[in-house]
Amino acid sequence: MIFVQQLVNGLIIGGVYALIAVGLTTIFGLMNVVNFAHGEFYMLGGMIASLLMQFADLNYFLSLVAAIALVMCIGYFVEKILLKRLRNKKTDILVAGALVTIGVSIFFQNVGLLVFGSVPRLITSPFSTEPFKLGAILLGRMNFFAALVTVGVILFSHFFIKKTTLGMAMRATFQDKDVAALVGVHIDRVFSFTFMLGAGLAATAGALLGPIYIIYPNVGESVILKAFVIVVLGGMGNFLGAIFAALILGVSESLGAAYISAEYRDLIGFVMVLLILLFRPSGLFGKINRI
Amino acid sequence: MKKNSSLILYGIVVLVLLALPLVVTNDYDIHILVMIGIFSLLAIGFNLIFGYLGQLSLGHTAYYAIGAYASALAALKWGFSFWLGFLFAGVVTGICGFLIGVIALRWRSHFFVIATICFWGIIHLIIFNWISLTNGPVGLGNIPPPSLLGMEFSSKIHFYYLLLAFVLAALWLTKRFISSPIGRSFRAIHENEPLAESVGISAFRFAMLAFILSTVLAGIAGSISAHYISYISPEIAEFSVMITILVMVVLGGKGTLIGPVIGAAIIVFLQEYLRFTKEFRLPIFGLVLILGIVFLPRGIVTLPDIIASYWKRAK
Repeated sequence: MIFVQQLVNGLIIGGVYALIAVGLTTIFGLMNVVNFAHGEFYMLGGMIASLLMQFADLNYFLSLVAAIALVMCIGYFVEKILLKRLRNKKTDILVAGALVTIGVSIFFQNVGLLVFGSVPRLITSPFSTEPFKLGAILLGRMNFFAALVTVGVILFSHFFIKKTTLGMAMRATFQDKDVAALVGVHIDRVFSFTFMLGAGLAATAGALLGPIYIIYPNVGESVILKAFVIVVLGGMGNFLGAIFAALILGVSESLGAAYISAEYRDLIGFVMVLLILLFRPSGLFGKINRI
Repeated sequence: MKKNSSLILYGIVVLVLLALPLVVTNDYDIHILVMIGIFSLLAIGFNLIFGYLGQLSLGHTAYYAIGAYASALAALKWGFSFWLGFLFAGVVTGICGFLIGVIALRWRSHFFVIATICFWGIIHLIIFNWISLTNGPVGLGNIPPPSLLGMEFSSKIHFYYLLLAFVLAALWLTKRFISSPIGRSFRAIHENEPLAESVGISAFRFAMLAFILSTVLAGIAGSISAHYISYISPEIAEFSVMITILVMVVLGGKGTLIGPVIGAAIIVFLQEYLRFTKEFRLPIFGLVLILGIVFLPRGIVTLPDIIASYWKRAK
């Protein structure tokens, strides 16, 4: 029973990992930028939701939506003001993008520190703490809600990319940026939107996990490491790959913590990445199924 | 003629640095000079990979920490002298560098970045959680200072000269390395890897050599700093230290010989004199990093050229 319980916990956590990693992998796939500020979007999502509840007296669900919208705006400006400038120069976008987003990440961490202080916060859960009981398995109400929203948001993004015109433009840009531009795709708009989408997904994860795990200004550092692990496992730029890899990581961490060692649970992901890079660099799922 | 005059210039700089403790007698100022030395070693090593090979190795503090812990543990547990522990630290970090190089150097750009970060993550976790060895977050104290021919390194000035020797040696090694036939192939790799490979230059071998040299430099910096401060904790492996090194190299000028040292000097000074801005120190670094990348992508060492070209245009 412990096994099934850990499996369920792992899947839920994995789902939220997926929210973070899908944005990161899409930004990488389209823009060739390894976004080091991704963890900070997660942190900002949780922090802003928490602040809105405290000072604007909004309920949890409204502040969730407002936090996501605000972080998407922040993402928009980061892309417009900084990343766009790098694209137009003849620099190595990969290194320059990494450096600039590291700068952005430090900036937001410290803004977080100034505004929220270093004391970790827990958002008050809108649900009762009484868990659902499915046989012997316990499922927290907040965890269940987080899982539902995660599935909804991921399905929404998936169909958005597959079915809408903007989504088609994204896929075209992913395949070949220059040709896409040639046939009239507005590349800058696609990039802005991609970055906003990624920021929004990370913020959703932050606001959803806020009532379950604590949030503090530096939380982004551990989040981004997890997201990197998942993106490599799933294959860089692979949307579906990232989702499966996130679930695998969630489950193996949860089982590893239960059966091997709780202190070293984060080690599992790092070792997996080094092994993947050694033996299967295109990720667990190969090059198929991209975006 | 030109070579002679630059030799004279180097000589003067070295003499000034040798004589510096005669002028700077304040203990605190010498401490700053020592810290500049330690960070110069780190920055020179990091620059070998980041500047000359163009790869972002974000796990550099892992080697710094490995060097510090290896040398501290050797002194505390086995009673090694500093010099033996120092060699031990160099060898251990070199081996770690080789192992991680085998995995990371097969890749370029993003895979390289992520592989080095993951290695850093592993080391960071081990330092925190292997309490029986590393004492966890509490850290290790009472690390004995080095002694030479029966004389103990009791004063900061001794460390200053020790570091001066190592920084000069590291610069000389780097210079030799990049202007040797190996180094020239190295630069060819950075400019056009497929072409370099096609004329028989093995990118992997040279990159590996540079990577090991870079990690060993970080390891000996760690060893010296452990014995200098006589206390180490997991803080030396924090990501913020990595950012500090990164900012030093970017600000000073990546891919230049002297840039990392200039960057290290500026940042250590700023760190000390911006102490009153405590919480703002890191955001200022973040800002410096962003502005540097966007406006001065080749560092402060190119500033004279840029000013000169503006001057010419203004005329």
